[in-house]
Amino acid sequence: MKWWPEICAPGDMVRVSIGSVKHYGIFVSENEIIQFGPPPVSLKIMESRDICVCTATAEEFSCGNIIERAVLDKSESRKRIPPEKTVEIARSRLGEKGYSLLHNNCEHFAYECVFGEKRSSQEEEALARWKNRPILDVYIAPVPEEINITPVACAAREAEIRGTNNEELRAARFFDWQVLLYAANRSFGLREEEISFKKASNGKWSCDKFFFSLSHTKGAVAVAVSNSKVGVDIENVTEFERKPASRGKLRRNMFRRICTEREARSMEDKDFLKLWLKKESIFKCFGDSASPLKVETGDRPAEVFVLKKCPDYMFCVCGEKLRSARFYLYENNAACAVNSEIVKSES
Amino acid sequence: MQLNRTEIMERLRDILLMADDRNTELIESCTEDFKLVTDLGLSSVALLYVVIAIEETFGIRFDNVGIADFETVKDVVDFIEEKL
Repeated sequence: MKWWPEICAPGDMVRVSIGSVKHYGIFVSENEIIQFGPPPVSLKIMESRDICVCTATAEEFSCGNIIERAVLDKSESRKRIPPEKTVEIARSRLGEKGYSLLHNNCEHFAYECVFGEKRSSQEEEALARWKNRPILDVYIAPVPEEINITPVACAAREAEIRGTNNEELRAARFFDWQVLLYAANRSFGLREEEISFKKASNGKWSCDKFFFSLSHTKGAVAVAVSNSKVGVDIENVTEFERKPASRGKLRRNMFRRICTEREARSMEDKDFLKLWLKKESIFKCFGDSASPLKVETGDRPAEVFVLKKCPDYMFCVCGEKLRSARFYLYENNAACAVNSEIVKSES
Repeated sequence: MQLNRTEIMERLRDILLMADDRNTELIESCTEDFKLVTDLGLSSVALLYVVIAIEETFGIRFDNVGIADFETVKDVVDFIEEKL
């Protein structure tokens, strides 16, 4: 079906573009276009209950815009209801209610009058976009100073938390789980009881509904959730720089040890932290090498970021949906979007 | 689902970001007064995408209302708040 601004005949499916929104109807004459609801410009002049199949003149229907006529291809022409019958059907439905923006709108109505079945190309396109939407959400969360560790519903995680003697690590494991549950609900609309978590023998956590990755460092955790494989790693920059391995000769040695030949050609030892973050997140995401040390970072979908508000933390996200990543700052049991506050760290 | 107005607005912002990736900064900074079509430039398909996402995210349905009922972000937040 193509749309052309040409002279219309009775029984034609017509549409008009009002701004970025399209409105559909059945043309009968210049004084009679049958439509489901008024054109989307009459802001609230009609109450919702008044949305029904009604008539408009071409002038009213178009709102000053150009009316386009549906030009059917051969196959569509064979399938269509004869134009005079289309007019009859459209008129017979005048006054009909039951409008639904998504399931029974002006396009469904016009299509049904012409082809005998409800269909909306706009609905189909929007639905396909929704189903195939890429999800890769990253939650950065500063660890609160005081954490009241309460039991978590997942028995294996509860055992892991209770079995952690280091106080700071225990708090981080409890807190990143809280952030994960929040992310599951925020990004996927899932409640804790709808998700089945499990821990593999290598210590990696997974669940049956989505992919996720957890990371913690002194003072903050990072949680990434996605509908494809994902890995995240976060480091406290100041703390990292304090470590003996991050300074001087030792850093150079460490850098050489973790570098592949290819990486050694393009990076310097000052990039040690970034390289380490990348290797960790890639390893967590794909797990296709024996250890993070063996990971080759080139050509992998991994980027190192800094959140302007929290410059002390550097984190790397790896995942096939990286280009669609959304970032959130989680504080006080809620998260706000901070995509515009995120900067890529240059390598 | 029990959500306050700020939480509804935050989730709606997520949905708008997914519906249109051309205006990320504008959507992130948008307030309830922003107009969906004339300020944010959402197309018919993007608007339907928003409707699908809201129906799926909040478990509500947009029956008996038209696009003209939702001029601003506030109109959408009001509708969700009323339906929840």
